Amino acid sequence: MTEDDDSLWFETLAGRGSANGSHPAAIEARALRTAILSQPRDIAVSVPLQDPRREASLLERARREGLLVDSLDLGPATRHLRASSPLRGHYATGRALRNRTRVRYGLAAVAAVVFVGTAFVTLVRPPPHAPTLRGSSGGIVRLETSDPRSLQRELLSELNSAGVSATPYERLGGRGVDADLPQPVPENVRAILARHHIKTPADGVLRVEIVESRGP
Amino acid sequence: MDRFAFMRACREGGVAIEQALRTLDQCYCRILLTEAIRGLHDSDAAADLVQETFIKVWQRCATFQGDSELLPWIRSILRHGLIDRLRARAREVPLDDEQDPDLEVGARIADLSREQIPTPDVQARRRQQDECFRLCWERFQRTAPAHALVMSWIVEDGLTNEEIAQLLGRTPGATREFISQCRKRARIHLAEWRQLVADDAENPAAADV
Repeated sequence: MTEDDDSLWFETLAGRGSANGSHPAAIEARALRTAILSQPRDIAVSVPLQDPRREASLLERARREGLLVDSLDLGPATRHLRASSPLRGHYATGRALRNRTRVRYGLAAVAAVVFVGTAFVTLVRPPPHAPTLRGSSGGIVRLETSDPRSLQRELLSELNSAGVSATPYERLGGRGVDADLPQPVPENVRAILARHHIKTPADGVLRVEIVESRGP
Repeated sequence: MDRFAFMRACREGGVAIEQALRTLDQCYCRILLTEAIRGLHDSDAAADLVQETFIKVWQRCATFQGDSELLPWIRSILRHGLIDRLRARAREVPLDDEQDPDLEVGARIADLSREQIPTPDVQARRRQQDECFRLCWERFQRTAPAHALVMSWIVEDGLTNEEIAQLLGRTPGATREFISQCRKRARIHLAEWRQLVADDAENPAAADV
């Protein structure tokens, strides 16, 4: 299956274009498209238009997420006032806003301390174990390291510095970096990849998955 | 819900948001829940995803420009969440070009025999094909849910490569590879159905009887 073949398959599957209609990829996609469209789309879901319990649950979650002011507890003295106030459910105003601002400044201060601490530890601490190549399959290079986050950041930063637009991603149990490399792949980019034990992809599509090493 | 009313509520905040959340829930809960159940096959998880989507809608309301209808924008937020949840369930194992599709097809046909899907007779061949497709597709959805879901979105909504890249949060190149993986996986899981279709193409007279 070539890239052009896949592209024709994809366009036909999406119902676009009729060029190369007799090409096997187009025939395959057309049959698939017809079959998918013939499947029932709507699942019988019985949902009342209005459901007070559902709404209450949604609003409660909105409060928990800080979208509505009721998520802030201002103390028992004001609770009954808020309950009867026409402004109940309003965004944070007045005292609530001040409280929230204080909380935010506090969090910002904590974050700054954590950041400085982390930077210090990172600078003083020896670098994490060098990544080891776990394998490569289906065009995805798998690297194993004791610190996937650092390796992801490092790889991303090096590729970006070399003019490559790389995208980080995170999934359960792993991280990774995707990039479409310029063609031909410049020497400095090849050097970066080689340093990380990554073979330069022939099609220019770089897909790296980074997992945490399990043992020493 | 009218998109301009939504944007007004986003600007005003406060009570307007609470009211707008109720309106969103009334207008779109059913549509979104149907789509979420279809992808997750779990009504509780789907209801949670819909609620999460409404919250995200408000967290991102300032980014809605109003140049499209509200529902497609909300749906794309839901779909993004759907893909994230499906990815979290199982790690993707890419299929190589080198894998022998005939072996896979053979294995799937053996599965088919074990599942005792009735041998199609000539008169009911079309119906058998549909039934075979349904079973194969269900298996595809169970084994590679994200790929099956994205394929159905491609067919139903004509998504472009860029739109899929946005949903997946991947580069165009990685998205092309994802689409290629969709095709490879579909070939494997729909092997029995493809075989039936191919048989009909070789022997159209029998299929017309």
